[in-house]
Amino acid sequence: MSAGRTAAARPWRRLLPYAILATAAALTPFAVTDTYLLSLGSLIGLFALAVTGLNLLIGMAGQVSLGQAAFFGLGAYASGILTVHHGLPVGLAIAAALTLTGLVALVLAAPTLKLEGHNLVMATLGLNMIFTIVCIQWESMTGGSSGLFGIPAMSLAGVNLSSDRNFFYLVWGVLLAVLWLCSNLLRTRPGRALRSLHQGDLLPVSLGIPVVQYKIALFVAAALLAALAGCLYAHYLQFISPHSFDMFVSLQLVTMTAVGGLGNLWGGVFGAAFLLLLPEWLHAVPDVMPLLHGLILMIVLMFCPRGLLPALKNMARKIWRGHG
Amino acid sequence: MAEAASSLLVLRDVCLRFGGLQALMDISLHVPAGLWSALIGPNGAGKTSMLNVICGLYAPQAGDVLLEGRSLYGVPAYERAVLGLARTFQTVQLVQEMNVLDNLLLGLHTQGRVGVFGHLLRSSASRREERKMQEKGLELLARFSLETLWSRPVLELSLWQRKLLELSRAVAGDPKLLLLDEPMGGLTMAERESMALLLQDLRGQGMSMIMVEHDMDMVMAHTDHVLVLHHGRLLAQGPPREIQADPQVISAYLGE
Repeated sequence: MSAGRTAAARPWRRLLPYAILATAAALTPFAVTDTYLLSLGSLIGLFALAVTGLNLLIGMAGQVSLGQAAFFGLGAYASGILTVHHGLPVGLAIAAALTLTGLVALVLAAPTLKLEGHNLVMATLGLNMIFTIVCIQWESMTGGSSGLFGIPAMSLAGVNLSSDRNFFYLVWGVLLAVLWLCSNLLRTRPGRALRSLHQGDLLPVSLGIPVVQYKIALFVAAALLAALAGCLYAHYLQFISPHSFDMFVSLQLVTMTAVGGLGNLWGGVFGAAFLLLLPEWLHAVPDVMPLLHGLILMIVLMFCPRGLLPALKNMARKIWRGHG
Repeated sequence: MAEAASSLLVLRDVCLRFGGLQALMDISLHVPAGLWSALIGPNGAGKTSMLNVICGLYAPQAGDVLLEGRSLYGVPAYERAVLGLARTFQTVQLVQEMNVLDNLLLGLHTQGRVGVFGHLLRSSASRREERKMQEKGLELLARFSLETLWSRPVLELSLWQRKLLELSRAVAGDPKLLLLDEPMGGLTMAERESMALLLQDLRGQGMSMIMVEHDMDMVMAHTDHVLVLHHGRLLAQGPPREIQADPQVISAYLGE
């Protein structure tokens, strides 16, 4: 049997998870009538979007960023400020916010990516703290610590996209599209190059892969996905505050990525769902959540460094074999 | 100068220092095309450093490297791969999370023409290119008797199979010059013989090679040209027979 045949002849197997997730997403608003739960579902989709970018950055390039919430926030604030203070139409504001975030990420990428390991983590953490301080201090623009109010809703051809149900569809549609694009990329030539990056520079460079350019592109792409999630978030809640984008949110994003398994696209969705649903099950007070996230991150990294989802899959397989 | 024009690779007065350590001193040499050259010398003589200078992983403080008469000064390592340099490593370098075929296809990276956006959108050009690459990859695997293993994770491979895979990846893009860092290292006697036969085949097809190797029997039996490094200097060069009889080489190896 040739690889060409096995890899290409069963496209339905590749499409299956998308079909399942799309069907589940399409039916959810009918099954879930509680608007709180529905908006929680949208939030899971938004976080999964940001986690997808982070997942590529950590899983492919091996670069842990604890500043991803800053890009999430940059998207949200840029789009919010442009609509609230400058009266830009929402679509244009989102485009401008993404452009701005892309440029900021591009400028930050070169110096940031020279760092590795702990230094990179500290630098990105610092970046996040600077962002939070700017949001709090620049009151005339950001509304300071009390937040930015009156962000307009999204609408398309007279349909309000920021209603709970429509927004849910929008977010999961965008997420599925992004996952599809990413998985296309990962299984082709540039994707193989990306997957070789975390080996260190020696191998990819000797194969003709421009490592620095690839890492910069990944960093910018991860920032853009976080910013896109941020834009959607701002125009859905129509209110944002610095607290939603602080370093604890960055920690949460990294934990989601680790739980889902590094470099595992579907794992990121699981990680986002797991960490956002956990406090609902536990009825936990918000204050202990960062503690809980830190604990989960530690446990995952110690006992299943390849991610909680792959570990659960392995366990299920073993139990299945034990019975079979 | 006439010699330089006909040489595939030329090193001119190359000096490489790591802090106070002089790794390579005034190395000048010519490597003619189509030959299987060996780079030998005691441990720490600068053999791997020289490979790294040639393929651009280290920038020498002085001197120049020329490929087909073109200076590689300032040309980054990844562009040298595009110009036709490929290599293997002392410790086999494979991407552990990827299967055998995907690892091999990394060797075809510079052959792809479809851009990132084409691949993102899974355009028909992207699908066509991937199909072609997979076919070519399987052909290459078949040449090295690895085709039945194409879908296996590389972790399951033996050292011999890993070495084969790394070699097949290195020749995938039809390089002009293949740099081999201890291709026989860690292999059994029988595997060494098989590796020598494979490399002979490659030379027969016109591939030029520089091989760092400790197995003197292999070097003397199979290569066309031997370069001897000692303490970062080029001690001698010539056909294996002459090198074997060179008193300087003998004393460097046996110790004064």
